Amino acid sequence: MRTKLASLLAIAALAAAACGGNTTTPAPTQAGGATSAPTGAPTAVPTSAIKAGGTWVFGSASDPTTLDAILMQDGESIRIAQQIYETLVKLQPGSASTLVPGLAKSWEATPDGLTYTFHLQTGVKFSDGTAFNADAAVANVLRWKNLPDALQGDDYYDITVFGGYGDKSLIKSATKVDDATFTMVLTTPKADFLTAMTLAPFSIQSPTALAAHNADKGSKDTTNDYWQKAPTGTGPFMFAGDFVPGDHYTIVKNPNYWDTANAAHLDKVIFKPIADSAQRLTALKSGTVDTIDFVDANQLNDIKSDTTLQLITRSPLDIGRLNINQTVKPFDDINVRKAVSYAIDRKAIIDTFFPNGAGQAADSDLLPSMPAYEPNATVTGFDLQKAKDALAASSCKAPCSIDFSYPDSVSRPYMVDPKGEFEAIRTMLEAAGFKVNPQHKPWKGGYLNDEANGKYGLAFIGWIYDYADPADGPGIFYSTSLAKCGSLTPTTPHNCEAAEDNPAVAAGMAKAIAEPDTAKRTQAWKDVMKLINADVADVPLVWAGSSLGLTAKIHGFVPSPTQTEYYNSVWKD
Amino acid sequence: MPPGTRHIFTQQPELPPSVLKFIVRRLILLVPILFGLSLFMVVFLHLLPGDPCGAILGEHSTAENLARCQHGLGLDKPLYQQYFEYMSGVFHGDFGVSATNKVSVATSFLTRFPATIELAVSAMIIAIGVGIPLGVAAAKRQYSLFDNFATVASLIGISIPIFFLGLLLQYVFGVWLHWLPTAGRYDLGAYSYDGAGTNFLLWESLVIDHDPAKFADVVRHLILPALALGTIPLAVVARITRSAVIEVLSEDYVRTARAKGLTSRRVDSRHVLRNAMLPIVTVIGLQTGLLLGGAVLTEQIFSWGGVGNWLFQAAVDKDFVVIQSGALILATIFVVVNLLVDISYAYLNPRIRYS
Repeated sequence: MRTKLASLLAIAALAAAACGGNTTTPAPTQAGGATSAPTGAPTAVPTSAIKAGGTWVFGSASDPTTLDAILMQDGESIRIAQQIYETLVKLQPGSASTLVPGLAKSWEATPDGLTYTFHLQTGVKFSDGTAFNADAAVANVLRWKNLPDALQGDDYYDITVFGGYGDKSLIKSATKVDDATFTMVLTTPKADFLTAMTLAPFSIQSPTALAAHNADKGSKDTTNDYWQKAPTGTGPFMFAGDFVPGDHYTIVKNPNYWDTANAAHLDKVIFKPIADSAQRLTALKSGTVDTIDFVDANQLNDIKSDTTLQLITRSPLDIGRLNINQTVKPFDDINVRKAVSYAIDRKAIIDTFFPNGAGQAADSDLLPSMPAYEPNATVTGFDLQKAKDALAASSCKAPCSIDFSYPDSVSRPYMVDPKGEFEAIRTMLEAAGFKVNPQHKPWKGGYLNDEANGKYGLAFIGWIYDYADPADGPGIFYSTSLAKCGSLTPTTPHNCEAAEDNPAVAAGMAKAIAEPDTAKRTQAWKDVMKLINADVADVPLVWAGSSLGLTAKIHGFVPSPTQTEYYNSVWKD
Repeated sequence: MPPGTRHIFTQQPELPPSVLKFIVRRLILLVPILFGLSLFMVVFLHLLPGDPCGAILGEHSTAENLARCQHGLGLDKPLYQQYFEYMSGVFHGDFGVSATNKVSVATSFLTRFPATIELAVSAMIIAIGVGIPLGVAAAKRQYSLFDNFATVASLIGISIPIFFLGLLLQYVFGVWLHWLPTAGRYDLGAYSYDGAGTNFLLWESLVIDHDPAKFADVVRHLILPALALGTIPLAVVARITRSAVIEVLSEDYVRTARAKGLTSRRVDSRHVLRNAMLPIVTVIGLQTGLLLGGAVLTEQIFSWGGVGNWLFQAAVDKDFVVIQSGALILATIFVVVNLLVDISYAYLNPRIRYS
């Protein structure tokens, strides 16, 4: 029911956007698809039942690594930043794509998709008491554009969304119109611009605090203590000055939060880093922490069966996949790629490694909840005979020898047991006529580097979307075409992960990324996905949601597929 | 006091003149040790596959992003240049900056070391407080049922893997009985430490905040990790104590002391134990040095914000600078602790000559 309602809303929003003419409608705006409902999500609670105050101890996976927003790239830093900072545009709580006002109460774009005018909330102050206004917003935007040399390279999202610095940045200019209005001009249209602006790295920080704590100095300059001593935003929480690395990080309620209707219920949130998932569960069960994130699939039933605990599973917004590098033989032959894809019984993988509803069999890099989702019409599912036929038709006859790589020392939501999954798939491939040569390396010990540099023909990998847009996914997997990779037999490491050998894919993606009209952009991405599916450019395996375990006394937590979660709604018995 | 033993044991020992020379020589020896260690660490770490950028970028590791990150961290420079720049910083007191969180290694170490000291000292208090009496009692009742029990218990204590013991303690006392907390150093929801910032929580809660309940809370959090960490040293100390005491018990001067009518307690404390202390102190020194170097497994299991946990995470993240500098600092601490143990020999037995 909830899914249907969300779908209707999505369709209505898409229709509105399509008919919207020259203006991007102010919030709420459906920028992408609907989101399937999470499990265990809270139901509406009467305001009178909500209890104010209290401390919530959250068992996180690690310390934050920085809270200078534009430099953040890890989930634990972003988790905290989402509470103390705010972005101009926000995602509706629980949604992966519906835009709502943040520090900008409304916005509009010119028909060419180049100029955005933001109308800002008024009466907002940073937690250091300085005013948030157009000057502050412009200062932040210009910092993204002209990031000091000493900080360049640490700003993954800045470089990914805006492409460079100074004249190479997608941001052409940012100009104050009046105290409550400013404009941003882009050098080229970027259809997912507003959605990208919901990312926590594009939070607005106090220019005064940034300057006072030398945030623009390099990391080796010890006078730069901004993120450790004074991360300053406008959010419902603020830094409490209590950060003991390896032990805890504390934020407290912002008593002067501007949006009084959405002020925090809790007095304090303490993030306790516990690296190991088994230890996190022990800490939850012993009452040491109130909540843990990233519960392992094999722990789900343990939490479900404990009446003092509750389980919340986020809707999936990721993809576990086998990447295929088409420059590595025999994967240059589409029949080999087809044979691999037909040979894998995804349902068996899900049943074994993603039990208790932890995952779903995937047939696309996009999820069905995304409008551009296009089911795979080329390889329609597990079919051993078709796998054998495809291999027989290929240039690599059975037993066809292939290198197949998997990572060690890692567990991700979409890849909970890489070695186990590898062994299962290896058996399936060998049944189809392949001879599998295993290759493995530690995830952080060379695997990621080798995979990114195109050294593996067939390799386990995955992606967690930052927002529900194909640009943040296939737009990155297939961004380096074969033409840029060199010959089919490269002698040196090349910058190709997938090396998708189809110029139409590159052209289609360029068109989709620049298309400002939502409906046309969705269609453009559908066309791209059809090409990718037809090329069997990879083997999608699983869409997996991540789960949280909470004690029964925690209420009001709204899970988000993108983990864009705001803790102002949380309260504790 | 029997005059026959007085000249050895009750005379106030004086520091032999050679001790200062000994200390200086040992400290000078530290320089080539640290230099060799730094060279080994740099070469070894760079021979291992992977670098901090893979850990930082995760799924975002595209070739372009990796190259940008590696350039930013200076990892694209030749290895000799990286080493030279690193050592140049070390000689100026700059141990570098973490690739992961951009915090200076010195700051991180100083923040976390108090947590490790509290845990290591607590574990050693358990080890010494239980191990020595256990060893003495077992030695005095050699081959008795108690001795056999103590011997078997020591064997189990030495053999039991810390991770198993830690998990067992957590399950029994944390999850099952709900008696003791399983992670962290204090009840984060109930207390805060906003004052001195020393990160010595036992000290802060008792001496600065004058709050017995707060102190008790810190002790409650210390019990399980200290037990887990202290078990192996306890077993080692008990075994060494037993064998050393058995050896001394057969000495003539012990028999003489007893024959002169000294109480058993006095013989044990003034004659037996003191003469048996040399190997015990050696073992205690070695174990303390090891524990101060960070109890990786214990700190991991109990999410203890100490040096061991920090270095473990650095190793997982391939944070080269942290691993290199952490190893240098810990090697220095280990050498200094051992030096102190060596010096203590002079007090325990003035017959020892330093050369």
